[in-house]
Amino acid sequence: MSTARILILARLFFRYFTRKALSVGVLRCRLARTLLSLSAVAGVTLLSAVAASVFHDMIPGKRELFLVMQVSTAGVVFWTFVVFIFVKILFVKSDQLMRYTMLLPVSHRERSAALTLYEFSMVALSVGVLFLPLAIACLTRLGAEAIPAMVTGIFMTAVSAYLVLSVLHNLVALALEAFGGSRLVHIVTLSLMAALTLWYNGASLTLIRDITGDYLQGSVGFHLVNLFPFLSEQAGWPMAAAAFLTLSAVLTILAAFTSPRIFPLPRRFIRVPVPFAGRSLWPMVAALTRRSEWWIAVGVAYVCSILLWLEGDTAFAYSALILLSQGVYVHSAASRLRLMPGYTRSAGKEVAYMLIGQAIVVAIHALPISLLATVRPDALDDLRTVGLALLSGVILTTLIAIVFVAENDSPLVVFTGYAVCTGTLVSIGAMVGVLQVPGPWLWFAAACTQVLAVVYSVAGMKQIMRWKRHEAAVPGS
Amino acid sequence: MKRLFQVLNAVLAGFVGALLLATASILMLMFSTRAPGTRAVGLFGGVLFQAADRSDGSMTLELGVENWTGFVVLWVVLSVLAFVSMLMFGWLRRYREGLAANRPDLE
Repeated sequence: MSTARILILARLFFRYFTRKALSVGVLRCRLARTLLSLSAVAGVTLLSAVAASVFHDMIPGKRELFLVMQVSTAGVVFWTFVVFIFVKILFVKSDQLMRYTMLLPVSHRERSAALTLYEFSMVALSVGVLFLPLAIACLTRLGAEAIPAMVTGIFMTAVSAYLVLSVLHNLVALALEAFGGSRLVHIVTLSLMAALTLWYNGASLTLIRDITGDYLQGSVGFHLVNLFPFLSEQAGWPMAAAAFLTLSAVLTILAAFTSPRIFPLPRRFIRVPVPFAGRSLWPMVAALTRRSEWWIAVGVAYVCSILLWLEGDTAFAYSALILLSQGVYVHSAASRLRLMPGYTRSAGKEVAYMLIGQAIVVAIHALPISLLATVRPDALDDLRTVGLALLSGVILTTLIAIVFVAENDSPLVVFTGYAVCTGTLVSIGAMVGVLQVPGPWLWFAAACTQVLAVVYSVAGMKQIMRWKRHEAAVPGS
Repeated sequence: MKRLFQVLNAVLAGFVGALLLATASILMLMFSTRAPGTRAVGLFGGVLFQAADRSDGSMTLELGVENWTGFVVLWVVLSVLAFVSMLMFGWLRRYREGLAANRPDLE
């Protein structure tokens, strides 16, 4: 293995993804990029100021601040999960780059090492930016004394979590390879990782409660995610550093040895029989159903619903909402259909087909989850709410798909779309909550929002068609 | 159709602006009202905030829109402002395009 070749390949990945990310959707516009960068800087500054002010006014002593750092380990692990999956999706969507690297004079081990290096830098960068406000606030309050707590709580936890996830991912991939399922590696590993993230998200509340409970009893308990802060508290900072280095070395060796022998090229489509061929909606339904990502969402939704159902709760019905995660791809999934000869539809009809097609696909795959309610009738109320949420979600995700067109299935555009939409909805929801708007008015506002979303979807679709006509008429535009 | 969308956009912008202002007013009242039991109103009497101590040591909070007329007036004013801004923006853009069409050296 040559370190120089690994670094060159890692740099190639970095440049490729940066250029790819900056050349799609709204990020192509320099003004949008500048605005996004400025809002990110403003957001970090504002959050740092708020955190520093909260720490100054509400958190009395150093011990409480160290508790905050301990609690943040639960968040660090969660975000490591999220970024890990995001980077894996990024590579799955870039099979052409992977095919290109196979032409280069590098061994598979070198390619795997470069991929790991790139993934690791992405995880470190993302977790670092997310926890920057907390780190700045702690430094402002405690000065240099906060550095060991920050290193054990954020850096060491993120690195170890990433390495553990890499080893787990490689082990699953190896097992599939051994059983002849290497074409399904991406679908299975991503489904498992997504299910694990959702499970961890549910478990992290208990984790935080336990860490806080230990603090109230005047002790520091061991909860796996807080391994390094725990060691630092019990045996001192050098012991925590030594444990981190040993664990990292062991996990790195394991990750290197378990890396798959061949890079599995992703399977983008799955041949699934779709009945009623020849009907006008068939192409749209088939385009949505045959995407491999759709089956990841279905797998995760079913696993979560069964786990929640086994727990004896009625919350299993809400697992169906996971199916909506694929709604933002509805425009790009049907983009190939629009290239077919004789395929001309008005914007309104196109939006209607996207809405109905998505509603059919979601309803069919949500049916098995709703059947679980027959065994537990107390979940019927939740099912009614889920039905409404699915209907609303289909409309809103179609709007996001049109506003943030995920060209070439770019995960970054999808992520931006989701982030903007969630941020807007949560902010408006919080404002409406503070204003204590009466229930009937809320229902009326929700209905108006759905109607407006459809109207704006049609307007957006018209605009996209206008741009496409312009691009076709003016070459090079 | 274009004008209709401008009106719709302006109404939505006005609504979000009014929501933002009303929420900010309540938050300001919340953080500036010190004495328990004081009934504080803001945004021209449109929103209210009141905190009161209970006998069991807990606290009740009353907050929300006091007078919907104020909120609606604010919504209308902000919508009109947004609509006028859009009209002016469009007019200035057309003016610049007109200038550029007559003077190619300005492009």
